[in-house]
Amino acid sequence: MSCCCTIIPAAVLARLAEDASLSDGERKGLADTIALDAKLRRVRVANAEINRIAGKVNGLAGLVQLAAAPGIEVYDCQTTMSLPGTRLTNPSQSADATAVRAFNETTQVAAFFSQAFGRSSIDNQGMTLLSSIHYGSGYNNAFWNGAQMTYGDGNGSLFVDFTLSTDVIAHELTHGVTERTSAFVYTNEAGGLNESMSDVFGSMFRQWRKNQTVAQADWLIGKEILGPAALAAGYTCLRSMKDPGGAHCLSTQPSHYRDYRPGMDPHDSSGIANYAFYLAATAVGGQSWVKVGKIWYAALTNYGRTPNATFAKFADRCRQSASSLFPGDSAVYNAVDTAWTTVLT
Amino acid sequence: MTILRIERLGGLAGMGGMGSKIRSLGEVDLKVLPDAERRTIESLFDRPAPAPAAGNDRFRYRLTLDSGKMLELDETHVPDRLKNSVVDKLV
Repeated sequence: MSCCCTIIPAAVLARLAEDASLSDGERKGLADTIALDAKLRRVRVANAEINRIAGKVNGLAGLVQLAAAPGIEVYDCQTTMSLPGTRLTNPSQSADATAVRAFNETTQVAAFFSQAFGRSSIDNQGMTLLSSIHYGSGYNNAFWNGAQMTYGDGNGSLFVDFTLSTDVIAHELTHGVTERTSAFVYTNEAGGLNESMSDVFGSMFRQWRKNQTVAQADWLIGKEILGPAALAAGYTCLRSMKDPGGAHCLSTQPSHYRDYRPGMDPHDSSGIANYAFYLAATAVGGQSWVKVGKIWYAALTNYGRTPNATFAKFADRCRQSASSLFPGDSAVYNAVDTAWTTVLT
Repeated sequence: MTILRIERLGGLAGMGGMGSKIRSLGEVDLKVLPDAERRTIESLFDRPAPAPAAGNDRFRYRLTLDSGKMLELDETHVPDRLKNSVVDKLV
């Protein structure tokens, strides 16, 4: 299925292309954009088909990986809040370390999803990944806006540059993956699942980047973005998947369903599913993306759009995915089953 | 109505959430604003809140008037003067 996700709907572009109040040049540009959008979608569909065929032919695995690598674009907002900002022509060679990080780590996140899970970019059809840096002045945040990742520089006290944590970059990109797959809404249990998917894949990416086992991982979210004031106060992270209620976290979370309350901020309720992943992954051992990560990926991507899923429903998907991906491996199934049973009490 | 209190919520760090150690507060005295700007801000309370912007980890702003009237908007719908009045602090 081709992705038809555009910032400006084709119908709006078409209407504007006919708008007599615009100049001839502007209307031609809009018409050209419509034509280019259609061509790009056909290219993405063709690319996906090439990958599918090449993946079945011995010796072409390298070509599949090459074909699946998406374009990576970085834009500089220059402390404004106007997106996407000014495109950087060669971000990997920039004198701006933020630009280099945004480019390199986004490239690596795409490689992680490709190598660990066989996914080609956010839409699984190789879509170009857009990142904007230096958003706002002293902006203590990063976000996904439905089309791109965006990073603030922090106010230098509570937070610093949000590109400094590799898990934050993967966290934001994963929101795009969730949007294109399960499409969990951002409220109640589904909201907690949405946020958890981003922390889970963010943490896995951080471990993948460092080639860590589950025992070596610190399971912290946002460790490197804490500013001097937060560090001086004794905080070490935004959240901990290993210890959601830990006093060293800027945001303590529930780790069990009994402490869930409807209407909770998704960044609070995500602790429950985060802890389930931590328990399952550490019970299985090794590297998190090899088995339990694949189970979580299958649970996220193989069940169609389920906007209002519950923790219990997702747990069942994880159990089913464990059985189908690792048939007969009772240790893996039991780790997943026990993890979810534990947190859902 | 004169003092408008502003609280910033959400974002990647889950500011203002149940377990958050960050409180983000600000206030603006509407009485001292230029008339046009004051009317723009007051009009936010006179119509239904717009649909939230797409995406995740966006900030929300809770605006509360002296009268107790309260409104919650995502950051794309909040005037810069209100956003700029907010300071993030550890509690």
